[in-house]
Formats: sequence, structure tokens, C-alpha cells
Amino acid sequence: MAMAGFSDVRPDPAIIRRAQHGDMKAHEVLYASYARPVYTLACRILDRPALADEVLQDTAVEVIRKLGDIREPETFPGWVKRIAVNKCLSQLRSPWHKRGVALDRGEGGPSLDPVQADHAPVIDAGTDLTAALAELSPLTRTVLWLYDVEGYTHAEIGNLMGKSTSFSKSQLARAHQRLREMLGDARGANECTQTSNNS
Amino acid sequence: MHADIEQLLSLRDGAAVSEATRRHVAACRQCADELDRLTLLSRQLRDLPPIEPRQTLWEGVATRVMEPPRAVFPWGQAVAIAASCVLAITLVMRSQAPEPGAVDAAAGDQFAEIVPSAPAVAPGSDYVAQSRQLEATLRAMPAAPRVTRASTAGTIADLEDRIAMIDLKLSHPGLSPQGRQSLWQQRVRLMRTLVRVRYAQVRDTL
Repeated sequence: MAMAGFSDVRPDPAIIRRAQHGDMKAHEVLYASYARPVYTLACRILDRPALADEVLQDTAVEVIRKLGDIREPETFPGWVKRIAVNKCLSQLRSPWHKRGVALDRGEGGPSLDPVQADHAPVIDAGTDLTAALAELSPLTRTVLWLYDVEGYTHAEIGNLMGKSTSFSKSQLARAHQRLREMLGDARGANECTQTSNNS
Repeated sequence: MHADIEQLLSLRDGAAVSEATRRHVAACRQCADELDRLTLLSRQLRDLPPIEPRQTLWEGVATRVMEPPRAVFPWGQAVAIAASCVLAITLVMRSQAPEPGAVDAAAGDQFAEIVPSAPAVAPGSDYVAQSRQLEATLRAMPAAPRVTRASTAGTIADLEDRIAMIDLKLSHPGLSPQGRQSLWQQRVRLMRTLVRVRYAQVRDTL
């Protein structure tokens, strides 16, 4: 199944121009084109629908306020993605988020609750892979998602996080190692792969 | 010696690996299987279904955008308040012994050290260090109260938006050293303001 990601965000340049002139209907059309990939990104990284709501709304507000900065319509999807990623990272950095994570996890609790009762969207927690993703630390999950799904390079991820390229590489390796442990491997690959011992 | 995950990921993604590693993986069934597994997992991640946001979220966006400009925060007053309450807050925080497993301890502080885009800044400038310090100050502050004045919440949201925008600009690879320095300077200024507003916000709850 092809994922409806940022690559599928191809708004009509005329819509962008109308939006740049303050046409809110055009903004709504633009929003409809990027809401799902932004929300998916935020849900996957933050693992908390309430925070993903905030990221999507904050991203949309910034898109509306800063759309005038866009000169080339084809840069729109990447521009929106960068805003959304930065909003996600801001959420993860905030004391509010860290407090929320701590409370969600409880004492010694292993993972966040991916679905909150007051939210209609349901993250597909039933799948093994989604459940395993939720078990990763926010940092490791973020690196994994940005690299493997969103196509960021290690250098870009390191730059976004104020860290080194090798930091991103080691986090990605850690993510895959943890996923492998959680998802299991019938081929008995434990005999094969040793992870780097730099975590 | 089998390949480790970092080496296999490099092979998967076409990054540089040693010729010896490449030869080993080509000849080793276990490593080749592991490489296939990593490739498959990447595809499975990309194929996870998209998640639909609630339809009502756009209404919230439109409402926020249509709001009249926020009232200007009384900065002078905020600075005075902040200066007078820093000591009080510090004393309060120090007087509260941390509970076992409380709050940030379990959160995993991996993100505690993250300061966005901290590339080189012109020699002599310490804006990056100041920015880090201010991040740390913000992190050390008590959580936001459940009830906050709308104007304060709006000011905080606005400041955070502007900081995020600077972070976005800082991540641009083609930025000149002077431009980067200027952005870090702006970031420090905004962070200082944010810290002051947060102090004022916390003070209101004491």
C-alpha cells in the first residue's frame, strides 16, 4: 500500500497564489492537501494524538502566516514538512511534553498509550510494527522515522537535533536493533548480527 | 566476523562500507538475510497507513488565524516581575526533594540536550551556548499551570512559533556565517523573553 506522504502533496500553484493573497478558502484547500501527512508524521513521532493535533494546527497556522515566503510552488511540500518536523521536535523538547511522557508511562511503565479516549483518530496500535514503534524512546523513534520514512539524511537529522551525523546513525541502528528484538526473527539472526556497542 | 547493524544499514542505503564488509555480506547467508530484513522493515514502515486527523482541527486553525492581534504583553512589567520571582522560584524548587521516579526521570532525557541546529558560529560569539543555557533554564522550570491567562498563553505560543521559525531557518544549509550568527542572536533574544514570560506565568500560580 502506498503511503500518502509529503510526496503526494502537489497543490495547484494557482491555489498557492490565491492563498498568498489571503484567500482563506484557498488556505483550506492547501490544508486539505497536507493535513494527513503532517498528522501522520506527528502521530508516528510523538505517539500521542493530542500532541499531533497541536502540531498540525501549529503547522497550519505557520503555513498561513508565512506562505508569503514561498517563491517556488514546488518547494511547498518540503517547506511544510520542515515546519511540521520542527514543531514535532519542539514538542519533544518542551518540559510539558516530558512531563506528559513521564505521567503516561507511569512508574516503570514500558510505553506510551498511543490512543487517547477523547480522540477519534486511532493509531493502528493493533499492528505489531506500530506497537513496537511505540516502545521505542521518542528520540530513537524520531530518528528512525525521519530517516527511513521521510528521507532525511543523517547529516540533516543531526543538524535538526543539534547533534552529530554519527549520533543519528547510532540511533538508527539502535532503533532497528530494538525493533528486531521486539518483532522477533524466526531465522535466528541473533547469531549473526552484533550491534555497535556505542549506545 | 559478521556485519553489525550500522554496516548493514550503510549497505542497504548505498553508503560507504569497507570492501571486506561488502564481500562478507555477499558471501554470508545470515548477513544477507539480515540485510533483506532491514530492507523489508524500511518498506513496512513506509507502508504503514496514513492517519486521518479530526475534521474539526481546521476550524481551530481558522479561528486562531482570524483572531485579532494579541495584546502586547507588558514586557517591562514582566521583566520586573521575573527579576523579583527568580529567587522565590529557585527556593521553591530546591525545597522540593524529587520523588522517586517522578516526572522527568522516567521521561528519558534524551531530548534534554537537544538544541536545534547548533552548527558553527563565528568565533567570539556565545549565542549558541547562551541558547543552550536558556533551554536548560526552561526545562528546569515547573510545568505550565493548568489554567493560564489567555494573553500569557498566546504570548508563549507566539514566542515558540517564532523560535521554531528561526530553528527552521538555521537548518538551511546555504546560510552564511553572518546570517547564522544573526539568527542565533535573535533566538537568544526570544528565548530570554520566553523565560521571563514563563517565570511570570509560574509566579501567578504561587
